[in-house]
Amino acid sequence: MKRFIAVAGAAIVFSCMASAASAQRDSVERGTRMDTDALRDDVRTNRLQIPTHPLAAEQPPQPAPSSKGKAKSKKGGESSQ
Amino acid sequence: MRGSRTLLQVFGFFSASAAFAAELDVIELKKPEFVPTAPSWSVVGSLSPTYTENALFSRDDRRRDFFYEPDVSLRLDGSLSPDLSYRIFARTQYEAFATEHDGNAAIARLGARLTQNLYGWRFTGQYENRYDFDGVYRNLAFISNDVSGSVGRDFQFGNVILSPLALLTYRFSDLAEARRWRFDAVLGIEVKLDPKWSIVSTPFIEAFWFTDGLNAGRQDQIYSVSLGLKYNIASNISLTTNVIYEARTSNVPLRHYTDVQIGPRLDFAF
Repeated sequence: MKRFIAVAGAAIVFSCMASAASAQRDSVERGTRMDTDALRDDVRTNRLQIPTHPLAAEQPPQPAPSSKGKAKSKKGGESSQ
Repeated sequence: MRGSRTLLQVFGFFSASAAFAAELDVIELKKPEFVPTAPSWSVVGSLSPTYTENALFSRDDRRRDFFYEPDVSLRLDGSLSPDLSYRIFARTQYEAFATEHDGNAAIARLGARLTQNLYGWRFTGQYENRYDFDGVYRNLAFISNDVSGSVGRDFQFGNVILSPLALLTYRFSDLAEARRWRFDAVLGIEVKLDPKWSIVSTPFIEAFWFTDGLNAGRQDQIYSVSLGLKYNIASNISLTTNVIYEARTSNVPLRHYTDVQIGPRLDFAF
C-alpha cells in the first residue's frame, strides 16, 4: 500500500511538472506567433503617414534685433547661427 | 604661339578649378546647421478580427476559430542628427479567441531604438523589455529582454514599392525555454492601383535557434506569405483584407504546423 501511494504521488508530481513545463513552452509559442504578427503590422503601419505631436510647443521666431547699425547687426546674426 | 595657347589652356583650367572650389566653399558656408527639433509623440496601431484554421499552432490538433488582435504603440520620436533618429516606445498587443481560450495571450513591451540612415538604408539597433502573459494579461508567463539589429530600405519602381528588411534578435529571458536567436527576412510589396487602392503582399522567412532549457538545440523555420487588398481611408488610416498562409518546420517533428488566416486589418496612426 505504501509503495502504491509513493508511486502514485511521484506520478502526480511528475505530471504536474510536465504540465507546467508544457504550459510555459506554449506561452513561448504564442509569444513567437504574436511577434510575427507585430512585424507584419510594422510593415503595414510604416507606410502610413504618421502625424507628429511635438512634446514642446514650437519656439516663435525670434524678433529681429534692434538695428544699431545695419551692417553690424546682419554680420552678428550670421555668426551666431 | 602654340606654347602660349597651351599656357592659356593650363591657366584657364586652374582658374576654373579655383572658381569651382570657391563655389564649393560658398555652398559649404551656406549649408544649414542641424537644429534638433522637439521630440514628438504618436499613437500607431492595428486592429483585426481574424479567422484561423489552427488556433493552437498544432500539428495534429487543428482547431478553427476567430480571434481579435489589437496591437497599439505609444511612440516618442526624435532626431539626434540629420541621419540619426531615436524612438522610445510602449506597445501592447493581445490575442483573444472566440472559443479556444487556451490560445489567449498578451504582450506588453517597453523599448528604445536608434536608427542611422546610410546610403538610403536604415540601420537600427533596438532594445526591448517585454512581458508575456497567459490569457489577456491574466498570468505573467515570463519576462524577456530582446536585443536586435536590423537593416531595411524602401525601393520604388513606378507604382511598385518594395520594402526589404532583415532582422537579427537574441532573447534573454527568465524562462530558459524562451532564450533563442531569431532571424527574420521580410519583403513588403505594395502595388498601387490608384491613390486609394493597392495590392499588398508580404513574403516572410523566420528562423529560430533555441539555446536553453527543454528547447535547447531546437531549430524552427517558418515560411509565410500574405496577399491582400488595401484601401487607404486617409493618409494615416488604411484597411487591408489579407489571406496569410504559413508553415513551420522544425527538427522537433511535433512542432511542425501549417495555418491559414483570413481577415481584415485596420491600421491607424494618430
